[in-house]
Amino acid sequence: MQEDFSFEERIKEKISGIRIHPSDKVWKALHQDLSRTFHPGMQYPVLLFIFIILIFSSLSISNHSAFLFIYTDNYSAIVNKSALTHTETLENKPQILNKSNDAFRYRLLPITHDHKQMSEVYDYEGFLFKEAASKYVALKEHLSERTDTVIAERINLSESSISVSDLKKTNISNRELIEKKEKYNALQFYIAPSYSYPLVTQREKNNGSYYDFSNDSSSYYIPSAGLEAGLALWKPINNKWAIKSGFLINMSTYELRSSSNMNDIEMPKSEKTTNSNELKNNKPSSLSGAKLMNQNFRFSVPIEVEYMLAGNKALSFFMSGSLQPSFSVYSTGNIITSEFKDHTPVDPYLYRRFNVLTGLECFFRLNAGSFDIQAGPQIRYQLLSNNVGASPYREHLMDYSMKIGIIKKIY
Amino acid sequence: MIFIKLFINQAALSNIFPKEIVYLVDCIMYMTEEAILKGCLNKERAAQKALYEKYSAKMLVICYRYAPNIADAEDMLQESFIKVFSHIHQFESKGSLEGWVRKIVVHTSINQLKKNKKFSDCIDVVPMAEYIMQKEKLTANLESKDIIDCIRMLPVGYRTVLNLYAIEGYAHREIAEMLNIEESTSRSQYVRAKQMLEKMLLRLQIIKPAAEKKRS
Repeated sequence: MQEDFSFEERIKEKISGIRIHPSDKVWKALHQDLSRTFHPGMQYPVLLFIFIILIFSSLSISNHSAFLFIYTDNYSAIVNKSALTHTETLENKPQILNKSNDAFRYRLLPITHDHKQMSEVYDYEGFLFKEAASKYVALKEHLSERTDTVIAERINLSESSISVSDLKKTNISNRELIEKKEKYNALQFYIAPSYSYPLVTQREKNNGSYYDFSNDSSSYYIPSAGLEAGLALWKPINNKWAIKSGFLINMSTYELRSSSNMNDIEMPKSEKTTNSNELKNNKPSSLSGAKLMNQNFRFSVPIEVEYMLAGNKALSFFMSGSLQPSFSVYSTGNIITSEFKDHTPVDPYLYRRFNVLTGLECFFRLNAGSFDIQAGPQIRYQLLSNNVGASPYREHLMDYSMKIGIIKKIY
Repeated sequence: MIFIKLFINQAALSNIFPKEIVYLVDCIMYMTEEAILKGCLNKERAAQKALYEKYSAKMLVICYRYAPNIADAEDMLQESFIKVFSHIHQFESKGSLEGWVRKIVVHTSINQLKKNKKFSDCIDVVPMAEYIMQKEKLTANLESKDIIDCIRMLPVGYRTVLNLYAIEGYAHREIAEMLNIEESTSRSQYVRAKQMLEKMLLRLQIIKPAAEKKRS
């Protein structure tokens, strides 16, 4: 312990008097930065201001699209939510709407299913809506992007007025209404037991050739089990294509078997030693039984594109490809040393936290009543190496998994 | 006094007084740490410069011990001083200003190191061995800076723990918290770093073996 102390003291003593004067550009840059820097107290009001703006913007957007589909036994109508704060009456015929008519914001907007009456084209804030097929009336496509499809039926033109308080109401995204147009989103939860192992490639050729791992059994990887779980929002683009995104938590493990560790590497003793390749290992490069588990716990935001190969409402087959930007929350492990015969613990700094993975999967989807079941194999490949350039080789993870999920339609 | 200073600054801006006189006035005004601190609290640029000039050379050594190269070390220094000036109001006069600045510099260096991917470029045992071979030819001219160079030749993880434990005096528990590692990892990294550094220094004859030292 005393020796430890003296070593540290000696080092401290030796370096205590050292000074390195920074170049002039440091102060110049600092001076410029200081001129730009906020007063410490200023950032909070600015953040508060931005927060308030965001809140008001979101409320404004939310109010703008807050329409309700309301109905009685006799008639139905679209209404702006804000109208419900007023006691207004329904008029017995459709209003001519246009953006100069502010009254619509505070009134119930009756829509008839009568074909003849709906042949008129109504202008609503610059968007058109008109008669759709059969007895349903839908907003024109670009309007439906904002407010979903609106359908009205059973309107009784003979009744002249009705109090808002008498109306039953339902959100405009009423399931029955949307199903008519087959436009729905889905929420998907899935788990995938996986099997992971690293693909190892050498960064540079050694003596003109890459190292052949198959000829050396000193250090090698053994695949091991992992697990992932995720939640995603599924949104159809058209009948065949859909897009999916959400959150994914993934734990992958693989085993490294090697003879000894970094402690056994000693510095060259001979002055004639000029090459680091001559760094010797005290122990023979045989398998003395070190089994080391490498673990990686990561959080991803996958973006997936899905294509329906074949099927019907009951059973369908898909394939999909995904890109998964990921962040490694926790990782421990060992890497093979530069001479490929040994291992050493990975310094936390050497782990690449951010990475990108690509996935490919095939699966079937089975309609099970109120929800769908999905299952199929998945292959995933990590694009960037686990370590950030310190090691002479690259280590890319490869996952094989069986993905099982349940899908709940949301409207 | 501040009014006089403001007047001189304005005069300097108008080129009435030469820069040398302004610098002299700065030196007189900010001779004491207290004056520097007061000036920095008032965001006077001259006081900030005085603080920078007082500690920058010392602090750059700290950054240099963590950074892969001098350019990165200067970046760390710049970042550190921005923090120093923007948080100077948080300094409590109980401890020394230098100690407080040093703490910020160390933390900033660590954070920069975590963010900077370039730091990994110089980590390998290969350059270390080559370095020893090169330095062995120059044993006559060994200086303290060589120790710093030896420390810098260590793998990043090793040298970070060694810097924090042996030189900055942090406990392993604190290092573990700073680096998000286990306390045991910090200990083992330190032991390895120390072994490696000792071997390098012994070969460079910067330090003598413990037994030899006892005899002498």
